[in-house]
Amino acid sequence: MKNKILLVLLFIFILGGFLRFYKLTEYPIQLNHDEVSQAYDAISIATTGKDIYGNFLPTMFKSINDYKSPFYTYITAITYLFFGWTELTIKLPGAIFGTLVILAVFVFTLKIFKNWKISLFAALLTAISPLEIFISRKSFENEIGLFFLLAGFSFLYIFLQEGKKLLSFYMGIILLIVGMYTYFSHAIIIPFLLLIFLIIYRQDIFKQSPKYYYPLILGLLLAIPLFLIVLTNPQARYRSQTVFITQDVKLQEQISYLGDSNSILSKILSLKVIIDYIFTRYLNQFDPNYIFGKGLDLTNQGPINMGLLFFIQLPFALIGLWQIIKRAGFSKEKLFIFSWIIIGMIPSGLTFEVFSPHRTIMVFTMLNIISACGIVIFTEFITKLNSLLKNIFAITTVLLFSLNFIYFTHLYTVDFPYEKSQHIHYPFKEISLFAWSKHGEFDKIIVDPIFGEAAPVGAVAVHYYLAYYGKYPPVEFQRGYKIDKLGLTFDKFDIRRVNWEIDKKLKRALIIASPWDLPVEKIDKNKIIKTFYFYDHRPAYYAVETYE
Amino acid sequence: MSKKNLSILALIFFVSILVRLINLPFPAFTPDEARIAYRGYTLALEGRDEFGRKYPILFNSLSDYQLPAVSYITALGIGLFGKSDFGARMPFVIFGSGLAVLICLVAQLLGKKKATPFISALLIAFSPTLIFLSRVPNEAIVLTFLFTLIFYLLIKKTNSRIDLISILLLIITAFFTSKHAWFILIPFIFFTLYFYQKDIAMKKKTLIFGFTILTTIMAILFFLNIPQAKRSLSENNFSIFSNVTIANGINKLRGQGLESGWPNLLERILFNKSHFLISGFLHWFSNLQPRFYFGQFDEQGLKGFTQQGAFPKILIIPGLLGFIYIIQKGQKREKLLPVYFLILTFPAIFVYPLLSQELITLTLPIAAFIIASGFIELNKKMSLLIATVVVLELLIALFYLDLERMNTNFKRPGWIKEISKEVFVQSINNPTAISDDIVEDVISFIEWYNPVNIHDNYFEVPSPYKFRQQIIKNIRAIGADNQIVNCLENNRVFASNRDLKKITHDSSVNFDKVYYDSLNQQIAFRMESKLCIR
Repeated sequence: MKNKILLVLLFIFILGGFLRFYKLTEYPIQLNHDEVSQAYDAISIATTGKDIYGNFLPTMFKSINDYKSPFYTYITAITYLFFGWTELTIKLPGAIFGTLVILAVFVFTLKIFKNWKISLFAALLTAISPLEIFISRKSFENEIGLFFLLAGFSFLYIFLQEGKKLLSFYMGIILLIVGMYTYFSHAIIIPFLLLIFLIIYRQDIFKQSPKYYYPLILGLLLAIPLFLIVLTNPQARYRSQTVFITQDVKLQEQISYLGDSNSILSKILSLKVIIDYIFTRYLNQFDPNYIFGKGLDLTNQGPINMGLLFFIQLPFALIGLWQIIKRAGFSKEKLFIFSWIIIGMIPSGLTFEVFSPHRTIMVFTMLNIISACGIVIFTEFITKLNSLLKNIFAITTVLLFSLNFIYFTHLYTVDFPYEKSQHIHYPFKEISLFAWSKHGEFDKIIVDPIFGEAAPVGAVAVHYYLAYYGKYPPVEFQRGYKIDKLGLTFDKFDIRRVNWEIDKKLKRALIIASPWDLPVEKIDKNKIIKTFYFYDHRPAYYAVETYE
Repeated sequence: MSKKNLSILALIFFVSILVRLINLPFPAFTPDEARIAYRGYTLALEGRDEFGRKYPILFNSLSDYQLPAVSYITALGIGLFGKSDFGARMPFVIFGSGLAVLICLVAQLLGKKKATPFISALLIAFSPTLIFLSRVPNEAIVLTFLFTLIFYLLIKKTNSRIDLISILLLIITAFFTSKHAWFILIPFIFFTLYFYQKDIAMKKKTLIFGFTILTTIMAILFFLNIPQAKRSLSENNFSIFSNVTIANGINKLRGQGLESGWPNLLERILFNKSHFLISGFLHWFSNLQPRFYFGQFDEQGLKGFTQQGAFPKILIIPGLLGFIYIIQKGQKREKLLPVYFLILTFPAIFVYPLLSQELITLTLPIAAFIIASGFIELNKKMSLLIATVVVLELLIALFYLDLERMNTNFKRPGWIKEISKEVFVQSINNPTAISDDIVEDVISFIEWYNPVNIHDNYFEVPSPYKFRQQIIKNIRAIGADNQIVNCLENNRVFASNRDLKKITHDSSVNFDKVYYDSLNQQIAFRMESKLCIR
């Protein structure tokens, strides 16, 4: 029996790995601005020990002025040492940990439910989950954090269930602390969740022996540097402020209605408005339409979209939830599962983005586990039916899941690039490669960051794209880059807005700009040496030689 | 029920009325509510609606036909209390407070614990959304009252002939209250009769259920014979089928697949009309998300406070506990309660993309019972803490209304009262015009807030569907297409920002008075005379 389970698990693991690694550099069709900036910073760290702006082993990466948390960049620096300057380098850590999460989910579920069927179904749902696949292929640190979170709590359950070996407790705590370092939202969530775990199981842990306090003391010591970074580093504070909910325009409008009065009443009301707003945003995350209908946001077609979980999972999630609530003798685990969901959604409630599934992925992992519980109940129900009905139910369910998965594959591989071309900065790889191919022919290459399909937006990582795809040595970048009011320059590249009437007079210059800043109709067609298109074939950029 | 319990219930009813009367001019009327109020006045006065039709059964509103119950109930209030905000709102205050009593009676039949019915009643009495809806003429509060009463009569043990007749009459009344009733009543009655009620004889069950089916068919058939009925249903009750986003999305994504070489058959399997159903299904579930119950019921402030859910936020704790409690330990009747959330909101499937707060309102009595079930599971300290927070939140919601007024500046324009009075005064001696973009359906406010002669307003509109009145005696609305030119006549014009730009661009006429909205922005301008509208 055990071998069979392991065999099925191996199959699920391989399936999950395949879905995460197959054509990893082709889907999504291009590195997005976050990936390319982390990739180049990682190469910079691996080769010089500094980020591209010359900061030695930074605890926060300035990157595109968004001050990224460091874990993914450092781990990519390691993969760079093995795989070199390829797009795979940045993708690998996410895909590897995304695959390992499948195993972690299996173990974690087995420890909580003590039921291998639920564990296998949970692993399977994780392996084929749209959100997990999407994030794993997108070079995000969340999957890494999720892995450590699941592994850490699995060890804590192993500690509780298998003889209270101190080593398991130490392992659990250490893994959780590592998880905290991976992503800022985890730095808040994990301590909360750990505290709740310790409260729920306090009698099982602390009444036994005082030696069980030692792993916690170690955990506290290991977490101190992280809290020092978060609390003392102004860049970390800046990062927190820029993503905090108070940046929300609607909320700012509400607060402005209260006026500038410094009275206590006014301050209390402002605070209440903010709390109300946070709470509503938090509750919005539980919208079934977001979870099962359109949360992954792969298209611009309203409800014809993809949820974070499969639509067909909805009834199973409800059955699972119902069953977990009903299940007798399960109160501590139940409490922990609900705490996991309630606490896990907090980061989305606190940030300015209306929905941010990448910050709450742990909740959807738990919903996969709950759905697995529902599937097991369902299978137990249909096994009691006659063979015809049993087959009809089983085949229909498998068909619906398959159809849902094919639908996701379609949206992800076909529609996503069409619909979100601008969002993933689609033309910038091609632009960068073209610019470098013309590097010897021009004295100056100006790239205008303003582009967009329906409205002008500013591309924020143009210098990263150019440096990365030109394999420009980071040490040269660190030495030569300049930032001024107009933009950023390095080597022959000027990244700034184009003023055609002035810039057209430049000598031996190549201008790459979008129709938002370039009066294409006024330009001699012979001077336009290349047109770059969005994925849906609409013109995105033009490369124009200057007249001089 | 013991005397003590009756006294408690009476007290809850009294407090409920009191809470609903605090700061009663709030919320300001929407154009539709002002129209209903004015219609209530004309009905009370002459038995005619605002267009002069004698005792009609279908009325006009800005978005749909309106069924008669709410208008006649308003007429009753105005008949009793006069043409005033109080008169127009009071009947709904009674319905809202009566709902608290009803839920107490229902809860006594559902659960075993003695405190649950009274806590449920208190929750209904203090529900921000129900307080809000009890202050304005609307279908939701009436329909919720009717459904709860029908539910009570159906599940109570003794079923006399009077009960039976009452049920049938209430079903008919529900049909005349809201179109939603036409879709909900059949599953609602069926589920209640056959899953909840064991004491009624099968013959009676069949009679009630058969009557419901028959009256539903009659109501729909009757409605379909009215001009624009299909349009009304399509636009308001089955809007999903005319939603172009879904249809375009299907075509667009299928086209992208074909361009990328995916087989045509697979494209048709993946992208087809089933998306209407899937979208509708998820939309239905969206209407049941916790945000509406504990976060924000209506962002726009039309059906509730903009900052409040149906219940105070802190009640999410007993809400969750109550839900767990009824699943784990509840009696069969309690365990089946969540099904009502699905039954009462299922027409939302077809109303994509708009949210159906009216349908969610129907579920609030059940939600109150579930929260109450959780509340009594709490220990004393926790109960006290939660009750304190609830009271504080309600005090802020009921007494600090400036933010609400600002949030609903255009949807509930309280500032229009002053302008409409001024317009009416000016119109006594001079032809007067007012821009139609100052508020939606400005004429309804002028009619409601002024002593207009109702006969000035009688039109020949036999079946008014989304009819927007543009003229009343000496007053006319200025549309975007109208030109405003200099002339020698002594007309008065109340211009919006849009029309002020036109006037100052084309003439030298200036304004002599400015009106401000709740955000203290200039919203209207009384122009000097010598302007004509073409």
